[in-house]
Amino acid sequence: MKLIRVALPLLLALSLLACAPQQPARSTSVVYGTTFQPNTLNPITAPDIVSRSMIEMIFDGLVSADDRLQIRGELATDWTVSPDGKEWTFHLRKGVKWHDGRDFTADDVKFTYDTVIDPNTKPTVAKSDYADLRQVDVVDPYTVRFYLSKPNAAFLSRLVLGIAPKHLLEGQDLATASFNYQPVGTGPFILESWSRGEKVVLRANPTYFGGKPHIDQLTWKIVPDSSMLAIQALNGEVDGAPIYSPADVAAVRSSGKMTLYESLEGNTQISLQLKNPIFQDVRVRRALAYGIDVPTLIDKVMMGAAVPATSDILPGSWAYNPNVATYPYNPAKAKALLAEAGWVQGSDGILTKDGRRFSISLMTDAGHKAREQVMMAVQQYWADLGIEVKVGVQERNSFVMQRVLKGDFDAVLLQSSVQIDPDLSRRFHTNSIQNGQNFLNYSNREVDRLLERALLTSDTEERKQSYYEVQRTMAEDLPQIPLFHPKTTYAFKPSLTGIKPSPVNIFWNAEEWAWK
Amino acid sequence: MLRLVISRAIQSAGLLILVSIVTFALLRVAPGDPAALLYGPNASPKDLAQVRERWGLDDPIAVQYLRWLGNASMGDLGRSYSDGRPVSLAIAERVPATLLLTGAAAVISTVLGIGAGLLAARSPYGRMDRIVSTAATLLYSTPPFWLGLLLVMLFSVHLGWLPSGGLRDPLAPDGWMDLPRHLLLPAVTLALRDAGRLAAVSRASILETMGEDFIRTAVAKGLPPSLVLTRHVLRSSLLPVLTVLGMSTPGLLGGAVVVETLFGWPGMGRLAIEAALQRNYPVIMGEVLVVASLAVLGSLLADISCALADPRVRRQKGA
Repeated sequence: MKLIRVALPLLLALSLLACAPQQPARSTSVVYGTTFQPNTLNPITAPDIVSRSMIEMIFDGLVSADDRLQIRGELATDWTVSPDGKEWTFHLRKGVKWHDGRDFTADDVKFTYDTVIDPNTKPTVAKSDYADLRQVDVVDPYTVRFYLSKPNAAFLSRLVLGIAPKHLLEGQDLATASFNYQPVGTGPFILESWSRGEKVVLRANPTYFGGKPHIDQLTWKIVPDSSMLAIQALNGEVDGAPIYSPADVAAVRSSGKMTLYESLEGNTQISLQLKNPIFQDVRVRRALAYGIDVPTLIDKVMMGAAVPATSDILPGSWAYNPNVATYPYNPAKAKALLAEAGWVQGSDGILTKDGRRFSISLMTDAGHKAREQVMMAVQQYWADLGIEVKVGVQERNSFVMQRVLKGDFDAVLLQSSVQIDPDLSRRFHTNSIQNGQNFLNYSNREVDRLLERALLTSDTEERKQSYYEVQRTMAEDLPQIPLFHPKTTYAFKPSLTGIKPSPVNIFWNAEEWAWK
Repeated sequence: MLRLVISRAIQSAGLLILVSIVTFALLRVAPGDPAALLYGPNASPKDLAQVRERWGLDDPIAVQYLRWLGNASMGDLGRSYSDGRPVSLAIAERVPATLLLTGAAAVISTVLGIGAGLLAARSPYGRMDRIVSTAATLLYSTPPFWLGLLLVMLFSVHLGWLPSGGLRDPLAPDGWMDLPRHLLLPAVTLALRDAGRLAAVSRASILETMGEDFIRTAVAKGLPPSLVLTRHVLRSSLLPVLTVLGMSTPGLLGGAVVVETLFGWPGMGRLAIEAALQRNYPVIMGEVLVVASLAVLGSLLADISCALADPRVRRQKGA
């Protein structure tokens, strides 16, 4: 009797372990592990980057950006710009169908953009991104014209916005429409199901204008803990995943089981509050740059997973200028510059000038271990120069809202996000000071002029010249001290081909992925 | 008995209102703007102001609270800031996963805990007792996150017997063994800590009962030891155990946050974390209300079952 009572549960438990579930053919489906999940799948309202990366698979924009951040037509086949730069005419692709079978036309484009710029419809994606758009007109069912209030070449990069169907969203309350979780787009994938907190399942669109995707099913499996995600990648429980911590990257690399891909992230940099008199002498700013050993930071803190940065523009971008002033680690030169600027060592070892000690705060947002380590390292580097640095970490949301955007800081260690277009006006133009986006209070009339000029023409070569100048000038001015571009590492099973990570979205060409 | 239930029900309602006021106030005091969090640092202040106005965040706090309370008392918990769906729906779809997890953990911890306590009490201060008591203390003081990772490393990575996370296999969710296989590790992780505590409590209670005169009488009568155990000892020693079980209900719901995050289990604990990070006020308030209600209910049930199990309690309350 007793034996049975013990043996039976034991047998049951063993059977649990022994039975593996039946696996369907893996050759047509991909499981991608991710720590984030989308909030909404409506392209007009999606506020965050995770939602948008899934939206890009379900919807198409007029144009799209490839892995070199170059713009190509998607729902638009070609476009022309008027000589004054204020009228853009797009010719649309014919024969494109919505996932529910209806035809895509210029009416959908006008509806989408009218909704975005209408001040009365909320919520939508940041309207300020479309501030220059005055009006959208339907010329004929497959031609649409945009009227801008002023010429703005960077505007083209804003047209990656997914187009939404007028026949399903007209008159609906965007905040609560069921469309938000039952989206209908024109893109290569159709939403099959969404179990919140667990997974999102997409299936291939058989009538996609670019050709049916090679994989029949793409599943986002939500794994909130990043170390667990790495474990699942190693276990083969997911076919691909981003690997976050450098230690996990090393583990995955040495296991040899996965192919690793890298893309660059935004610029990890130290922004200086230029209203503070300490930072107003350019020699001081250059000294601070000379005083940081970036290659060592990349090697020891980032475990090699970063490349040195010279500005917010990524090395892979068409606008990147490889020849600008750099500041290789040189503490002696740094000290000389500081001395030249009038700073002398005080009795307590800290530099002083006119009775004022060189004591500043350096802060960053919480939750990124590597960034916190960089912050501590910089504190040490600058302490060696005789500067007292008080470091601090603050929760991200309050940090951004209450310190950064209000300009309430001395120096902050930030990571700029990647923009498709190299236009830097939002952060560095004098006009952006009053709305808080130029929180460094940087004002250089020459840079202003170059940035404005670069927006007047769509000619990439001309714009490139202006941006080259901007990068050169800002490398001399150093309103922010660029450190490095971290690399995001993705691990995929070796037999999955077609992956080309773009800094903006790894799924930009998911319809080309295929199992060998 | 009835008076007990009614008085406790009134107390509970008052407690829930107090909890909701404190939570509401804390949320508003805590730094962080839900609009900015959702729309990111690139959104213009004008866009954010529009969103805040839509969510009623610029009204006086008391007005906001009373509005919430009025709606909540009629069953309307508002809409989630992140996707506009009703909060009650967002919570309801997570409840089954959490209940499955905590239910399984409760069963496992009860069986393991009481069983271990029994084992230990059989030979007090003997070898088995020492082993069980040490194990119980160790388990009780181990952080669930570490324990969970350890179990995953062993059973999932090294042995490959069990999956390391998630509710089901994303590709083959219909195999009937699939869910139990995914449930095993998180449930055990969640259960072990409470099992340790239950083992200690039940051991102490059983030992105390075994020293009572009526047990000596039963043994002297010639009752076989197994019968003595089940008919007399267990029932009398159940009181403190039930109390601990009732007390651990909110712990199981709260402790699920860590385990759910580690194993990617789509339950209420995960929802709470996601909502907190996004300052998704309606969802947080809704969850706090639900969890507090469940905790209060659990405590009430524990009291009732104590009253049922022990006539002395019933008589005391004058029912």
